[in-house]
Amino acid sequence: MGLLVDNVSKKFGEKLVVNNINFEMKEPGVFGLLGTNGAGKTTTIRMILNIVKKDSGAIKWNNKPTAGQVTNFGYLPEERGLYPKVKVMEQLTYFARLRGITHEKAKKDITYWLERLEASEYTNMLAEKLSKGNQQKIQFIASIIHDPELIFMDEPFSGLDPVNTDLFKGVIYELINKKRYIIMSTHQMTTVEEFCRDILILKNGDTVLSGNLKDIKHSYGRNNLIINCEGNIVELAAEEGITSFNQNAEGYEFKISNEEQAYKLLEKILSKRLLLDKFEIREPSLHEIFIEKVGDAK
Amino acid sequence: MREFFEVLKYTFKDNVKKKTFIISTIIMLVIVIAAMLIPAIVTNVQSSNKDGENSKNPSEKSIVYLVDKSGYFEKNLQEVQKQFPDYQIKLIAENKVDSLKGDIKENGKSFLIVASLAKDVPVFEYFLKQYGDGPSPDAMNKVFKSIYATDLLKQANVSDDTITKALSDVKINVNEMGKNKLGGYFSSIFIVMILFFAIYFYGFGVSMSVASEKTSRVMELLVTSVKPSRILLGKTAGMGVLGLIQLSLLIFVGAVTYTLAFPADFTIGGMGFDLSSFTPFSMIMIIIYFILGYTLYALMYAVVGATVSKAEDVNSAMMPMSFVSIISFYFSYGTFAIPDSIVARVASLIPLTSAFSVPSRLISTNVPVWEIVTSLLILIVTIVLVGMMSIKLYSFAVLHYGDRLKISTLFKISKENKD
Repeated sequence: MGLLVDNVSKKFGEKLVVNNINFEMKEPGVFGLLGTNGAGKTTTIRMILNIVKKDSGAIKWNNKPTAGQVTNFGYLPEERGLYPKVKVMEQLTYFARLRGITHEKAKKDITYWLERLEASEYTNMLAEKLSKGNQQKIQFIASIIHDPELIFMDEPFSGLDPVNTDLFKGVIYELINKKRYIIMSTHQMTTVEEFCRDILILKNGDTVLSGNLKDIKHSYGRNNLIINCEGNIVELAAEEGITSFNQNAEGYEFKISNEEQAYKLLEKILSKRLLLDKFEIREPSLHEIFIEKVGDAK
Repeated sequence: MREFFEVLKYTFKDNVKKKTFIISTIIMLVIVIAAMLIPAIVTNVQSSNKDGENSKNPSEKSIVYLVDKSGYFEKNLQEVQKQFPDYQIKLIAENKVDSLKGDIKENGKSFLIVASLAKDVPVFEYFLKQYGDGPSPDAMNKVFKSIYATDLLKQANVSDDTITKALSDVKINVNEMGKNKLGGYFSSIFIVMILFFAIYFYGFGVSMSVASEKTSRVMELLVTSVKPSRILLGKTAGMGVLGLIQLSLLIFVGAVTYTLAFPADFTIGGMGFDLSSFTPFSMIMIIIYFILGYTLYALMYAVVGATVSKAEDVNSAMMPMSFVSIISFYFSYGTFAIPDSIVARVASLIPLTSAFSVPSRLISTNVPVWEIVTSLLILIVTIVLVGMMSIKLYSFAVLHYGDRLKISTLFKISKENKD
């Protein structure tokens, strides 16, 4: 079992959109495909799904090219694609029937999912009458109605409010527990940190970072020091050789070269009897890593 | 195969509920029924008028005044009256002519005939308000000529028996061996129009349906659920079934109304209107040509629909295809004027026009079997070829978003992408 993307490239005209992308997903879970807008995430997903023909390389699911197995996969496209003038139940039944699901089972499953995503009241409404978030729910159901093993989700949380985002997350956890393979493209770094075991960051079609998220973070070391306290501690930090920092409403975020620096600074704060709310040493967040890897281009 | 039928079923169900389908069906049914009923109503009105005239009292009959300067007709007034039973014939003096003329001009209820002789041949001046009112000149010619000739022959001592024989009309019984030209002409115009609109309308429907799936981006979901070829063929078939049902409904309702209400003695300008060329065979051929013609056009229309990314582009993208359809239509339109001409025969063989041309010729003339078979074969082979090409172009076009694809670009891309 597993998805293998091996040295895949794609040009649109003269423009290299995806350059030699490589990754492998051997175990169930969520794989995070990250990158700025236009970095090549959607094109990569479309190449795996054979919607866009790849120029070179190989894409295999269970050691067989994906091109012939596309109809077994699930796909939640980035943009909404529903029949605007067709009732929700009707079009979901059609999508299910196309996947070979019997009429009765389709009806039962759709009802289940509409209830699960708190959208039962839209069963007989035209898709165009639904809000963006609710359309997203319908689209989501369409992508998993045939219970696929490999699912592609392109920006699954776009247009969702926090309540519905949590609803979706619940379903995604459920899919992970059911040992499904999910390739997710998103801009929400916190979501990625929550779900993804492995990630790949694209920048203008080039892979700038790829691998296990924990390992990546580890490799950066615990060099973020967060201190929330009263008084100005910038000078105290400078005495310890900590000069790089960000100040926000809550407090400070320092870049440290080793943990020793942090503890020495802590001692100084305590000896000065400054009131301390928070002292935390941690690895960089994915957000920071992302900005570092991708942001400098801008 | 399952997916094909699913797409077919869905396309059919989706479109049969649409207002455009329901309204267009109703309108066409009304037109067909009206086309069958109006001649019936007209004929009925005419015959009831005739009945009314026959039962008129002598006092209500229009008066035909006769001024006889020749002297031949005065003495035969009774005979003249017998020949014009719907009119009252009155002999008057010459001096009343002017006042009568004024009356005719004003009221138009009476008529005036002034007979005289010029070089021994009777000449008639006929005064009436409008041509078409009163006794027809043909009838007058016959009656007065007969009276004059009888008189002349009697003077020459010819026996009565011979006179009767000499003056009797010769009989000409017309037996048409081929198809009725006028009936065939109207029927074939009717068939070509129906076929053209059905094929154009449903081909356009396929195009719109494909374009709407693309613009609404359902396509991405569809092509990852089903092979594009199944979508294309299923959609084409679904629309075709819908068209076929509509067409059959029209033909059925038309046939029923025809048998119930269409007058058997209906004529246009005195020529019989014969619909006997609508045999079961020609009906079956019309259906077959509709199916094949529609399939050919729909497959091309589907590709056109697939080249569009935005709903606004649909009409401009459709332009070249509409041109092709309309040119084909006019090319075959020319065939029923002379259904056996070279042009007609050529139109029957060209796949784009044969669906219009052959059915219309079947109605208006006798088409040799070999021509039908050849035309069908060419059409079917073309459908297979166009179908294969359409599937290929469709698969590429359908996933191309952005500027509208030109057909030439599409061919290029599909060539480059040959796997």
